[in-house]
Amino acid sequence: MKTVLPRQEFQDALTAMATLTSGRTTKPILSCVKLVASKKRVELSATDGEAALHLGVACISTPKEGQAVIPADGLLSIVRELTDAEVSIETDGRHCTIRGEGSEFRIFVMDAADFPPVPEFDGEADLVVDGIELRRMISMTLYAAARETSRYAINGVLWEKQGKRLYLVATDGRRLARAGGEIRATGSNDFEAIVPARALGVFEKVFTPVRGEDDWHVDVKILPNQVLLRSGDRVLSTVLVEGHFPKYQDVIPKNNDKRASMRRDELLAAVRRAATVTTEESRAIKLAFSTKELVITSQSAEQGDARVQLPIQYEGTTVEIGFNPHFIADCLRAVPFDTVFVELQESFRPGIICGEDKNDFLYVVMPVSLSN
Amino acid sequence: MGVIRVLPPNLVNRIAAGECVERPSSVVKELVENALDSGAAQIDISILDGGRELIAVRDDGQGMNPDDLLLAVHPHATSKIAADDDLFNIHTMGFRGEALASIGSVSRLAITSRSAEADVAHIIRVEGGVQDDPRPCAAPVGTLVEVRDLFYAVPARRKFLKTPATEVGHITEQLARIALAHPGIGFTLRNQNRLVHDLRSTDARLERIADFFGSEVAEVLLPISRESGGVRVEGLVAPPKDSRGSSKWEYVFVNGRYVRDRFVSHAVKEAYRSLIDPSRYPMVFLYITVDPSHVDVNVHPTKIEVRWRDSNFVHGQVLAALRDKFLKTNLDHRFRAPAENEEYRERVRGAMVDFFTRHADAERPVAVQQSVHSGTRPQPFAGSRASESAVREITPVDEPAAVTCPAPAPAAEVERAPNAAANLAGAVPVRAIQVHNTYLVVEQPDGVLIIDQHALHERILYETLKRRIADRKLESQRLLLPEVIRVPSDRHEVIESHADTLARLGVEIVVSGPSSVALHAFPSFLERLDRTAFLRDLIDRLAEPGARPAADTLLHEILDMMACKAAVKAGDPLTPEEIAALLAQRELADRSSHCPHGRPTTLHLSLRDLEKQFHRR
Ligand SMILES: Nc1ncnc2c1ncn2[C@@H]1O[C@H](COP(=O)(O)OP(=O)(O)OP(=O)(O)O)[C@@H](O)[C@H]1O
Ligand SMILES: [Mg+2]
Repeated sequence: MKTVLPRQEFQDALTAMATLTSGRTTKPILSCVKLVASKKRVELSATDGEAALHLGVACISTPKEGQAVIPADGLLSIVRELTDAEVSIETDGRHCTIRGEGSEFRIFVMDAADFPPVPEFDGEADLVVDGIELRRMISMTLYAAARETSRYAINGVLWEKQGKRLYLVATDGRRLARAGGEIRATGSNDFEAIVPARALGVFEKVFTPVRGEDDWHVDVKILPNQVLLRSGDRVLSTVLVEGHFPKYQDVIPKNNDKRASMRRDELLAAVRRAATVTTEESRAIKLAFSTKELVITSQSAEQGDARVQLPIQYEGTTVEIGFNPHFIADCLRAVPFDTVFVELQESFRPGIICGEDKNDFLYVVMPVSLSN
Repeated sequence: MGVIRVLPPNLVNRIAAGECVERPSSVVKELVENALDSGAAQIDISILDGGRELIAVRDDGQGMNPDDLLLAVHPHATSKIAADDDLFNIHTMGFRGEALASIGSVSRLAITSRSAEADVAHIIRVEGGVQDDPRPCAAPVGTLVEVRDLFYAVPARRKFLKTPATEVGHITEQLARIALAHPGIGFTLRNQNRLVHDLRSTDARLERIADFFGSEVAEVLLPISRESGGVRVEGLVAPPKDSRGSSKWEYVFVNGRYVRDRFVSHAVKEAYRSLIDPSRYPMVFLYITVDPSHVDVNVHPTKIEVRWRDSNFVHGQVLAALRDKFLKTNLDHRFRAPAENEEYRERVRGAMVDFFTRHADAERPVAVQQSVHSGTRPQPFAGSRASESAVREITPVDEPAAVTCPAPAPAAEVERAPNAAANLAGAVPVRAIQVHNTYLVVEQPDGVLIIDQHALHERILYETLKRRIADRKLESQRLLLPEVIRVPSDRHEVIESHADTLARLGVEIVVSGPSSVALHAFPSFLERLDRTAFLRDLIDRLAEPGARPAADTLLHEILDMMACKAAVKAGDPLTPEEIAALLAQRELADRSSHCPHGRPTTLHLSLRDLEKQFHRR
């Protein structure tokens, strides 16, 4: 195989591949990227055994078509060091030679036959979703997903299609985030699927708006144990998490009648400030809502105490509630609203953070209580 | 046509005399074993008042004729062995011909039995060792043994019995020991007329385990098997990461009989050594099959111990069976390094690199050079295998004693005030290095301290938590989705009775179904632990057989368990900030010289000692 590529585009593609190849793996082939060069294009693919990424780069020329499996780390660091506009990649059965102007590198390659097959996006999409909308929904939920707990189902984000709407739901058992959005086009029935959090992290890094395309969209294909996401010639596929996602509707409080509203940035800044004195063993902040004012306090024997106050819109009776500040900050950082609403009932019941429309975003968070 | 014979006296003497009836669970064991020996397919157990009022065991086995019935309750009468040599060739659970006679002497015993050929059943009653004649009655083929008022004639024994819940706990454990070894036989257990266990016959051991302990337990088990030299070792064993908080999870069966054997236990321990924390226990179900002539079960009246003809060989086989499995299974990949940990490692690595770049640029390279191990270079930490480096060098002079506790891998971090404490004046420079990711070596004016990082951190946490509990300031994170695990109903009472103690610790456990409990709140500082695993360990601890500890003792034991779990472990790389923080807290904490278990946290090596060793004086 021999092909000449625009260096910057090639580097961008390899950087995207690195989201999958840089993880710890015991199988060397999984830290490689596969290149398939044809006359006009070079197709790249990588997989971590669970998720797989595929994308294409238009090439300058391909004197010799073919394929090769090359250690991704090595290839990326070389391509990154070159400063030329073009880079040539040539492989024989054992080596890959990378050439820029005045420099030449050789690295070992692996046997292309050993590279695991990467699923392809065949046929029609089951859904078409606005790309910006999908990114928004992922970033508003992903942080709330559990990480490597023994309750496997919540280590992923639930995708729930209901008619013309798609909902993403994530929880770690202590808080829950749900984002909803419109679907552009759909051919499929309603479904539920749990997508691993890791793959969505890759999506966030790799699926960015296509420049010059206002109508950026993502095609979604749902198979019995897989989901494939496609935008242009980028395809991300991942196996789905098996198991049952908890019946989350039951834990969304219906009677949180104490409703306050405030500026998001002000609340976030106040929470952060109050959190500076929390420690590992004492990580709660206390929120006291009273007419037109929210007072956030925290104290720890080790660090001292903090008191931060901010103006809010609130008319209800006074209420005090403790929260883990990380849980509040995570959510406030992820949402785009100027104004957020906090809805409470009692100090030991879940609180809600949301925007104007709960159908677009809803966050349920459990309080921290002091033992007695 | 009786088949029961009185044993010849010489054989009687070879059978060690002893008591096999110690408490209700031992009665259950004897009766169920008899039912097994009778060829039953279904065995039903019923208990009233923890076994004090009634223990009834019904089977559908071969039954007994009236003359068998008479002999059955006679001491040393057995149908199971006839002569000397048979003792070394035992294929049945019973062989001593002692159980029923013993039980009959300390209770009101009634046996109703009908053999397959008979049209009518007979019942025989024994009271205080005195029996009446068998009388005909109506009953299906098989045997029903009813034991009432156990130990009524032995007040000392009766007084010794624990609460019904505790006794039922023992009985359930006894059932586990028998039922797990005989998955092909159906068992039910009723307590106060309520069905507690309904174990359907199955040909898979794993299914029986799942039935008894729940699928969470069964799911993690890996099969092992090995056969050599007439010894077959089969088993279902948990990978090291699924270790447990109590030794009860080591189930060893030899020819279908539950035993405690130090050779097998040692082999198990050996196989798991260094794969699990020394304070934890492996979970294994081992089924060893050997020719009966290779093992002597007549060692202990309850037959719980065995004597091997070749114990070293058995030890070797068990060890090999387990090791093979652990070698074949990629433990590294599957069982270690959860993502949090990796993130944490990343963070640590980042911090180390940071630290060295900062210090390398600063005008004080001298401080680095002068530290205890001046030969080591910082390069290793820039590489990707930083965490494996055995010696790391730090002189956290610029990071004076921050007062926070080391932060072991918080999942998401709200930005801390950037080096809030960094400009505190007058902090004493601490020179410390971490070695083998386990010990801290600290320079002192008069020598060197060697600190066990886990033991020290555990002590510090323990003291902090104790203070917080006293001040009622322990925070508890409530759960949106309670963590539910399967716990047999006989343990529910224990859990409920300790609710207050648990609440003080910020733990809220609620019985949520006939055989499940749910965790609703969890101490905040244990946030990074796996809640299900924690809950399971906690319940194991609460349900441990034996005297019930006083609330206060229990509180401290659990506190200790929490501190241990939350503390940095041996093998955790620490950032310079974390080391500095740990050392600073050491100064503040009470009794920091020993961990809560009484092991020392710190060794002191004085300059004088060093000089002596090097013959400088
Ligand atoms: N459920 C039963 N079905 C049929 N026969 C029984 C049953 N229970 C007891 N027997 C008969 O009664 C005899 C005496 O039982 P017992 O339990 O006292 O002694 P064992 O089982 O022979 O020896 P060990 O004392 O070791 O248990 C047995 O050998 C058996 O023949
Ligand atoms: Mg017996």
